[in-house]
Amino acid sequence: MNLIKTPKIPVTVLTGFLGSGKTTLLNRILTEQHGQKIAVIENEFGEVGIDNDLVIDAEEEIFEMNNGCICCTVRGDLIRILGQLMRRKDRFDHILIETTGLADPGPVIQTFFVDEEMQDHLDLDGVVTMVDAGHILLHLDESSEAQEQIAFADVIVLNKIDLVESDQLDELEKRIRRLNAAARIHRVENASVPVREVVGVGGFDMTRGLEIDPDLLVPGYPFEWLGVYELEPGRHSLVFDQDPDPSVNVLVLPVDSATDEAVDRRLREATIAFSDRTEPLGADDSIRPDGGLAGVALATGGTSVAIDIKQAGSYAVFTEHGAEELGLQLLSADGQLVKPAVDRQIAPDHEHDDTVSSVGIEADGELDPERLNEWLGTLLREKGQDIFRSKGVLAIAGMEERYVFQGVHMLMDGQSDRPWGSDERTNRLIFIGRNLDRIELEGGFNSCLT
Amino acid sequence: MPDVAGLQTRIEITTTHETEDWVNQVSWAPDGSEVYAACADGAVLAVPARGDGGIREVHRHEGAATCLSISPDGVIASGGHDGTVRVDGRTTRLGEGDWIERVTWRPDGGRIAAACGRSVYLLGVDGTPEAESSPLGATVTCLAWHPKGVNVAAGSYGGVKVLRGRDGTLATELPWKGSVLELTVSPDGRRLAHGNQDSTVHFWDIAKKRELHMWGYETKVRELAWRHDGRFLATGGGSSITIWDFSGKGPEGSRPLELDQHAAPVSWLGFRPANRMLASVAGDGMLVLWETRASGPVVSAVAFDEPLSVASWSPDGKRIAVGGTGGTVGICEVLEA
Repeated sequence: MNLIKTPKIPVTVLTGFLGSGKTTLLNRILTEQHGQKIAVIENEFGEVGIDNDLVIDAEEEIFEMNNGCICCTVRGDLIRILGQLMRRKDRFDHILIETTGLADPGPVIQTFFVDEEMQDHLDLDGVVTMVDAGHILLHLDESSEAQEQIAFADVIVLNKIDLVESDQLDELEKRIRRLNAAARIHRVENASVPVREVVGVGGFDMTRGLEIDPDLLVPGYPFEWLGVYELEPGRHSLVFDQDPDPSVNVLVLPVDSATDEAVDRRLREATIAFSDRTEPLGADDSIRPDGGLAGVALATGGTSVAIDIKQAGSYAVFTEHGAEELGLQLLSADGQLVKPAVDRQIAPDHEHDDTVSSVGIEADGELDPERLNEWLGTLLREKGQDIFRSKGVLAIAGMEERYVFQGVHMLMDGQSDRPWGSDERTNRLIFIGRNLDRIELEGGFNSCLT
Repeated sequence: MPDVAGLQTRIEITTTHETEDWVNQVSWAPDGSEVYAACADGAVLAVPARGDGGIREVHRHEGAATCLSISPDGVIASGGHDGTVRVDGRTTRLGEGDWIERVTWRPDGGRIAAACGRSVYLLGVDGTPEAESSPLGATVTCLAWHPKGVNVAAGSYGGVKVLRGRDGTLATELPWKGSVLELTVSPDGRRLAHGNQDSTVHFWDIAKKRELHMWGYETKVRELAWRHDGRFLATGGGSSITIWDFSGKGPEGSRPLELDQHAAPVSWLGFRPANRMLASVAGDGMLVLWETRASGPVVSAVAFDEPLSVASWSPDGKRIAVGGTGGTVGICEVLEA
């Protein structure tokens, strides 16, 4: 048999609240792409008419699927309808799925991951979310649906910008960026985004590069303070006057010199060490200055723990909370107060009201395939409900090609891509979801580095 | 090449016809003179089973013709994306925007059941709607009459409802958490099997409401066929065929027979009428005839130039009609050793 592979039909998911300009954009796509056969599947009845021969009204049917340990919801109506549409010989050049403002985009996207027939014949091109610049802030504050629709998007069309002041618009775009750092944002009036920016974007094309807003790649650290001390040999003590928590994690590492540059070179190591298991510190124990993470129990009225220094040199102390908050002091063997040569407060991870956020990670180096598998697998299984989308381009030890992956909730699809060649082997990945813990994600990722 | 064991029964392609679009279903005229095909471009076609006669258009749906059923008297009923059922030239509109997913004649030819949206409609022999079920929880995806024609089973997301063929009222409910894609009732009417979106097959003893769940399939399962005596059920759901044995204590805990030959997922399965041979077609373009024994199971195979989507045994079991994703309708003959 001649196995002529018919090209896959691209599918665009168009989402957004009622009145955001979805139908205007849809009609523009249909008009400007004339000569192309486009099928439209819509769930919203009785809105503005759509000028197209093939409009299918589908009643949303959410199906729960149980495949072993993976549970997810898919759109049964889409499996049924798309399964039939792809049979037509007068094949469609494109399929547009318009979902209502209240629909969860998750099941729509997951549908393309769980049905093998759809994977064979259709290509999910991208999720386009229309946002009414004038009303979105209200929606973002009031509904989780608005946050989710932004979180799932590959392209965000910020529409009706003529109704909003420009500084407000900057603020709005910043907030959207924090929700979804990987989407492309277009500011337009009257839905007038160029059609090529919303159709054929390849948002689910794993071989395309991953673009992450650089601001979101600023690492978060699992410690809020660090100090570098010049210490002589002998038994020193760390004194905590305050007890904001029952215990605090403390790490002591030797550094080359008491400078910012020297301690910066040890930040990654310190971050990884903070993801290790904490060793509780007993009354007679002392903190070893070799990078073991110590859990110091804080007593009311003050606590003192020993640090045994064998060799004179520079040592960095990292603490889970700020030195001031802990009332932290370091005393030498003869009880003299030692002042840190470097005293740095680390800004805690950016905080904002939205529970949805993006965590971008960028790191040089190579990943151990087994540890990566274990970490990503466990992460998606346990936190998959809250992780809307994940994407990554990774350098795996022993693999010449880039490894690319895409995930929606618990479902993940990964494959090897083009070789690294002479490019520097580096890792970029992003998680978009609810209640993401940047420090935990970075710690987990870092533990996979070889 | 399949390992064809010695001199024995074989299949040959006798004729092929080209239609315009993906063949959704094929079915034989009771006298074996014609094969009817429901195609994705909306055409319902009559293809001569012998000789070189041309293709005749029986009728045409707007949008795809999804399904087809032939009565014992040879009356053609079909359904399509236009929401209509056509019976012998008469058009009955059941859905506004909803597609007809299935039509099926009662075994005695006295009634038609049609699935449209969330409801099952019962139509008279001329297509006139006579009864309608209460809406099921989701779109009805499959229908099967009880062999005696008393009840009709309807599958959807959420399980199976067995409806009275007389008035569409609920006779028995077989709830199952998941999306049912295809169902079949055993020849003695006691058992029901359904294939599911989540790559599983579920069995029911209808009266006792005893159930059994089988998982481990490669794909969703839409291919199910009972042997005429009800002892074996052949299931698709991937490129291998799994055959469950219902004799004795039944398939529970037993090892099914697995038939591996196809290089792409199986798209249709059917036991030869009153015989133990099984035929299958698949996305690899192959029609394979199997002996349902563990040793040397392939009897014969023929290849077509396009992925096959569907097939049907002639009533006398001497020929098989196949349909392809590119519009080919082929007639094959089984030559006895």
